[in-house]
Amino acid sequence: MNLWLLAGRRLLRDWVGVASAVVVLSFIALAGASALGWIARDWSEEVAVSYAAPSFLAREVREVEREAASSVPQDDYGIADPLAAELAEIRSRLTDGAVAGAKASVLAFGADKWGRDVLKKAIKGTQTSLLVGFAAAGLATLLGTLFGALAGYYGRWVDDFFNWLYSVFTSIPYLLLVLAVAAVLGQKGILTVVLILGLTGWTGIFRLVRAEYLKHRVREYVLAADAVGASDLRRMFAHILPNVSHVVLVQLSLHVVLFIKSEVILSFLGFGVGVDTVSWGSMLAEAPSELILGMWWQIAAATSAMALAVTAFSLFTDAARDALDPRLQ
Amino acid sequence: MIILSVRDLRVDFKALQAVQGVSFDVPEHGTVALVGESGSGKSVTALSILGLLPSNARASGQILFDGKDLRKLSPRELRALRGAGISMVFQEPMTSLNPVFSIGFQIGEALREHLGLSRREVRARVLELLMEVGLSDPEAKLERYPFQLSGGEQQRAMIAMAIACEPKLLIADEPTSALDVTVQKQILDLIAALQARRRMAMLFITHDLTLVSQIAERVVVMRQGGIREQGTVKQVFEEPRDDYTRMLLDARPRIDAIQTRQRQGNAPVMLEARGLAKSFDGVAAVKGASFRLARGRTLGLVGESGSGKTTLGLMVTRLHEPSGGELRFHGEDAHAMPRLAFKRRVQIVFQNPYASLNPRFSIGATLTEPMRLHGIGADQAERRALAVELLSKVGLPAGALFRYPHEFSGGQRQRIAIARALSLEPELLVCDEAVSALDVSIQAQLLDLLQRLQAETAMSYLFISHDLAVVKRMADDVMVMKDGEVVESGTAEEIYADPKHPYTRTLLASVPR
Repeated sequence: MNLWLLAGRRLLRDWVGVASAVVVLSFIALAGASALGWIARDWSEEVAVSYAAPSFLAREVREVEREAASSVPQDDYGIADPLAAELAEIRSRLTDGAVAGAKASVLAFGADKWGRDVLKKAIKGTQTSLLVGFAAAGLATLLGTLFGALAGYYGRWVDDFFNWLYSVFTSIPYLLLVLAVAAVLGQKGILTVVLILGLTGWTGIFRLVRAEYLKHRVREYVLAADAVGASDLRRMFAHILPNVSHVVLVQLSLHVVLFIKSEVILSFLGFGVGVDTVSWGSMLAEAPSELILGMWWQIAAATSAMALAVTAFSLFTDAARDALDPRLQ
Repeated sequence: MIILSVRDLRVDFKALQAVQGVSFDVPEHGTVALVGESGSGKSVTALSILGLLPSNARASGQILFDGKDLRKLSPRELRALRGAGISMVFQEPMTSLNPVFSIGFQIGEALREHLGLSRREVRARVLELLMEVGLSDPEAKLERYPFQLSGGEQQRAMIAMAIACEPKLLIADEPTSALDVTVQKQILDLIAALQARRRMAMLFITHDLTLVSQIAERVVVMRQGGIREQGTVKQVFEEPRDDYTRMLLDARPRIDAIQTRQRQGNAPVMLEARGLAKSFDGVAAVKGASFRLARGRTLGLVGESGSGKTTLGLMVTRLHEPSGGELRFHGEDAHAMPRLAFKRRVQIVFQNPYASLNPRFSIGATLTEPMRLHGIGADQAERRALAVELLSKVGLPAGALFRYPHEFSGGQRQRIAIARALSLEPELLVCDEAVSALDVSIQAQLLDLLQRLQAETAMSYLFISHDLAVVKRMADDVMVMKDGEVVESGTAEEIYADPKHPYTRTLLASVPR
């Protein structure tokens, strides 16, 4: 029986693994739907007053208007306000046309400073964060695996060169390196963040894959492949890679989590995505000034989405590692 | 007087019944050999005597030692008994010794634990023990760590540890299987001498029937968890009543067997090595080996571990570049030939059937890969058909094509490895310890297969082995290597009948008969 099939079966027996896989898949589905424009397409529209509080059962717009009308200052002390008519007109012009009509009936997580729906922002942010996480982890894994394979397989000066590169990258404090690359690239955007994280994050994967290749290249099955005439590239990628793929997969999964968190940190520090995009990080970056004013909903939305996604992904990674562990086979 | 009596022992590992109702006795001062192939349950039986079974095993039955049922003892009482009453020597001395403690400390541990001696007393006792097991320069060895000792010295240290508290029963689980044949002889002699001097009883567990006649008085033959036959060595060896025992006795390669090979005539020289040498970081592994191999003949290459025989085999297949000398194939410089053209004509089968097949490749992929690389067969369907043909040639069903290596036994995997080598129809096949990891009955089948294939295709073999009996069965010519040098070479008759070099004589004298 195929070893992948066996691993799949073991994963299905682990209920934590299955549950976390369901959560991860629903996050991916959410991000996919948002990328296709099915949901949260209108996240940047002003749908409510500034800092509207969360309300699951919002009052009807009419009700709000009636309340607004009734809150018009009374004729105090029996003296008629000479400007009452004009003030009423100004008020109606200010409120009636734009906001009252645009007021949404339900805002589960309230609105931000510009009256945008926080829930839709969080969904759109999921799309950005997952995209960054997967793309950057994919890039880092690709680089780490390629470099590790070359270094571990060929040894000698190739190994020396990549080890030198590895030492350079790991000797610079990580955040400093990220900020330096961000500053050099200059422009903000998702692509920039992916490049920053991918180009700096391959080192851990490199080290592991290199060690695996060192171990495998002297195994008899690789010698046997050499004996029947398989080329170096074929031995490296057709023979050894499938045998170390469990290591690579687990690393990929770990780095998705790591880079989702890194994107949040980068965006929080202002090196992340631009103002025309929203991510969990940019939402958190807006949160400090809001919290002072007691507006807790934006940070709550961003952190709960992130905590759920990251926890589920980490648990899924653990389950996948257990299922793929060749010692259990 | 019986010291150990095993009554209807059963051990289950969930679905697997490893031992199914085994009963035998070990008399005081006597030696009983427990013989069986891999998976026969002999090691599980030994472990259950000492209560060392893994936690997922369930045992039942009686194990009476000195009248006490060991299965009813508390863990504490059992621990007190281990070492002092019964002790054990394991197969792999390198992995059974703790690498971070010195030899002296490890041998002394049992003395401190069971006898409560002082530091000085322990040291004196350990020195005595090391001398008793024949370690040279025991004072210095006391401070050594396991990796600083050779395999034979490690096993001597293990034996010293086992006899430190003067046990009444010694269980030796394949104590010599990991050792070279000359060292094996020394260790067996040592065990026999110690047993006679200390009047211990011994349970000797082995897969090698030839050792049994040397060391034991009684023998118990096990297969698939049950006992097939037991009796005195003389009775079992001379008049085996069980078919399986008879098969085992016939299958074992005999060094004193009469050579029955049909000699080939004077065939042209196919492969010639002149002063082939290889060194790794300045350490010479092979120091100038020269030989000739003719078409259809088998050259046996004999040597102990570290003699450089594997390195020589890898150079012949161009898996290692030699650092000196030359290799000529049909008169051409082999290293100047195109890589693929050379590899098509010279193939290799490795020792370990568990490591030499890619675990992620199906058997079909493993067998068609070489054909694809060398452009044999027009398309994948044709190559598949060829692969099925190869499988039937090595005695495997066509259904194997879609399965993965881990679904096959060691012998079957080695057949697949042979089929892979045959897929290129090579002129020379290097067999690097190709049957050494297999049970004797499987070994005999594979040797038959190799001989049949040679008769069909007139392939030449370079047959590398540490086992002189196997080489005698296979080889026309024999070459003996020691420390990277060829010390003697000639036809098989000459070497086996009249060895010239003292090392060859020692080797031949050490083979158990």
